[in-house]
Amino acid sequence: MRNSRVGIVSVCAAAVLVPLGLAGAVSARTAAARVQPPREIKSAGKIVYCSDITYPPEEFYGKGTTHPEGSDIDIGTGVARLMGVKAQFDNTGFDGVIPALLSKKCNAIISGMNDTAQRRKQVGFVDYLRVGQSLMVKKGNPDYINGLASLSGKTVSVELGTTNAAFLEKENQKLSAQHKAQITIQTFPKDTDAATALKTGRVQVYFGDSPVVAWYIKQDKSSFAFAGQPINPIPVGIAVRRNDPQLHTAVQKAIRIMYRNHSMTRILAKWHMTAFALHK
Amino acid sequence: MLAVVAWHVVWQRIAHPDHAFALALWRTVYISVAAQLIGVCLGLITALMRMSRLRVLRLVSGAYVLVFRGTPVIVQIFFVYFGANLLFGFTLIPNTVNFGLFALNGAVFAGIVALGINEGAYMREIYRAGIDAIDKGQMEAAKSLGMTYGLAMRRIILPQAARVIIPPLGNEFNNMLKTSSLVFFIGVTELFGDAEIRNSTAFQPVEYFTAVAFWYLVLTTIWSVIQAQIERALAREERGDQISFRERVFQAWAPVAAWRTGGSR
Repeated sequence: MRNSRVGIVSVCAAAVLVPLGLAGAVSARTAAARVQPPREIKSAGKIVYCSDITYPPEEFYGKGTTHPEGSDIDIGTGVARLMGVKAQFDNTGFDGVIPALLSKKCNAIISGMNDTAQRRKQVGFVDYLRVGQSLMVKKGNPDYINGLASLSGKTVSVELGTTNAAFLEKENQKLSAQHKAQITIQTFPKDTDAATALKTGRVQVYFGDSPVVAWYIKQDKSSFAFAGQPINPIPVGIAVRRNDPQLHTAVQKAIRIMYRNHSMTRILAKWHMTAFALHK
Repeated sequence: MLAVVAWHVVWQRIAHPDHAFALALWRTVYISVAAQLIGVCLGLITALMRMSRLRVLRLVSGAYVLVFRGTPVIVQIFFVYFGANLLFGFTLIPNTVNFGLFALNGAVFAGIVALGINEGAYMREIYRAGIDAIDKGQMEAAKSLGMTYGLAMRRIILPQAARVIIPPLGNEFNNMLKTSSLVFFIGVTELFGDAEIRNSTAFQPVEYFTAVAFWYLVLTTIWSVIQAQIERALAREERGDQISFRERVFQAWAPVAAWRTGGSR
């Protein structure tokens, strides 16, 4: 009898202590967090990112899964880990990410978003990369595209709401001032559809960020090729609400740590994006 | 919350439409009209095929409805625009389609074709219901008078069926005006695409989408008036009544009026 009672007690003790021990481990990890997140993120246990998950290799769904992958996903997860919380990525159309952030659907945006003066009117940025923009053409470059100057009179596909789209619009204003033929800009809500338009011969050129172009070419060497050199490097940042300075500082610290302990270098090397690091 | 909306932006988008907007509005109108026309023709052809004595034609007609009513229209749009090139290895629809008098952008044309084919499947069902609604005796009487099947169809059945077909057809076109916004996904800047593109640089989604909703409402209201007019014309002999243009506009807004009068109509 006694023995069995001891047995019950020890089982009960184990039942109580094991979860306690686990909780202890979790809180120990939180204590080990190198960056203090804002209270709402800490209590939720997760940071939610809005991201347009159609932008390989920065963010995309892995083959045959509904699991987001990519450099931004790794970086966002790294930032969350330093805060001692989980990372969650919500898929949003790119033109909708800023409204989604402002309407508090998420805590931050990580979506290969260029840090521009116009966007700074709406959100705050923590820069973590610096990428150029590249022209992509059909393999063999049948239309002899070698740079911005050769786009006059051509049809170009681009993703809606990107800096690339705005850049083409500006280029068109220049062309009309010079009385040259305009670029026909075909805007797609999803970046992968803009690339499909080139693959199916609907447009002559695709215009996007250099790492993305490099990825498309790597995936489909028989269809795509670079045209000319990358142009106009712009910083890329994680966006946060302007009235959320605590998160802004936390993300800033996390990115700095990731560059210092080389975890950023490893992530970028994994996705063949070493050339786009902020600090070399 | 309403105070957050920059109403002057909404007003500016409504009262001072610019050139790019006018072009987008016009695109929405002609894409919808052209697609609906294709749908009306395809629907009639396939509805007649369904009643054919040849089994092959009946099968084709049935398969057509099965496939095009059973798959999402956005998938059909992608298939017509992108899929054909990848499947058949040649460009089914060229990037510019030349009609002699005018040239159409390939994406616009693909959109019209896809929406039209999809619409045809729904129209076939509407025709079917309309034709079935006419008493069998009508056809028998026409034939006993010496009319051929085709002539009886043209002179006796279809004119009577039209009265049953027109109201749902109007409904379909109302739908088409809004469904046409899907062609934005293949890069056609129509009414909705224009709002999306402007919003993507202005970041004022509420303002831009409120304005675009207003414009869709304008289009559908205009159509309601036209539809009422067509229905009146078809029913005139029976009812013999005439109403003014003003009354027709009010009739388009009947749901609102019903609400105001407490719905007791």
